[in-house]
Amino acid sequence: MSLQGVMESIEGHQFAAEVNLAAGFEAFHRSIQGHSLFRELGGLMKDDPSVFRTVLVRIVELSRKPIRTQYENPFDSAMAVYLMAVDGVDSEVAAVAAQHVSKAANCWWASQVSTGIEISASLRRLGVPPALLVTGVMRTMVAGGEIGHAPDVIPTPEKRINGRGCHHTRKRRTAKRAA
Amino acid sequence: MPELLDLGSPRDRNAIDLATARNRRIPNARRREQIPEALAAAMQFVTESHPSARLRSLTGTYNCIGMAFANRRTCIEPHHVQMILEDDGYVEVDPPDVVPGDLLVYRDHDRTISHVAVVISHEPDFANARWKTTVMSQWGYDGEYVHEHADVNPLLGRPDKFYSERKR
Repeated sequence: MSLQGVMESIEGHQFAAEVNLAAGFEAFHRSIQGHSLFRELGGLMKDDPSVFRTVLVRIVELSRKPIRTQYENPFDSAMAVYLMAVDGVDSEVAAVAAQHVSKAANCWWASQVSTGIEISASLRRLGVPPALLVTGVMRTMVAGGEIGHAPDVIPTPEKRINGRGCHHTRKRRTAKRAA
Repeated sequence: MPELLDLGSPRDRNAIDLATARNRRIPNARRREQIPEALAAAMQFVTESHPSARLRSLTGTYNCIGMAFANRRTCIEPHHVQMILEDDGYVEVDPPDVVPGDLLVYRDHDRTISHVAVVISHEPDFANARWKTTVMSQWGYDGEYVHEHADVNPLLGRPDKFYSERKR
């Protein structure tokens, strides 16, 4: 399929319907990564640098498109997919693109992906090893109070997010006080 | 930005107050309705690929967990289901003891909870030596359907166990 065909399909209602079957972010993320259109786009981006630029420009265009404000952003899934594709090639550029997407109104998946990418970029700047970088999933883990299941190195950024620290941090503080 | 970093937390403007029977907060967030064209495409996609699925309600403002545990008001991530089942006193039910209103929990290939449905009928299918179970569930954000329990999109996982909060 041509690049135009791939992008039109990704921006179409049928594709949104397919990926919106996911009940949660993890399933959404997995469904995108296993989708033939995402893989095709990723392949095109790696083969031809101009495709990478085209997708970046499209992310910015979509993030600025006027929408009917009573509804969800109709380009929500497309922006999420484009961001994930860009992130697969260059995480630093993806972090910049994510800033544009985070300004787009009424997004669901796209805002979760962009937040994940922005958090990952912040962690990289803090020097957190790449293996421990988080995705958008972490956001819901933080919200759900499940951050304690994440590796010990995570408390610092988590602390920055909600100002409290995870249960490992609290345990250590309590143990210190008791000692 | 704060509400993005704390999706579903009390600081999230899209969250509603929601707690388990043991008063543990259930993180959640309300999702805006999809445009009518997208909802129509979603219904077409589901009903064409799963002929047993009959549309009950075409909306994308809640997910299956929000349908089962929050009266269709909000979206709850599947990884919170275990906490809700425990706190709300749900116990596993064997197939012969299932009654309408009980829940069917679906899991994906790595045993993670992926979907929840409400049983609306459950009767023995003697000819095929199995149970014939019809459930009602929200398919992701593509609308709510009445369907045979095993006839779901692979993204929703596979039927695993029945649970009930019935007091006996």
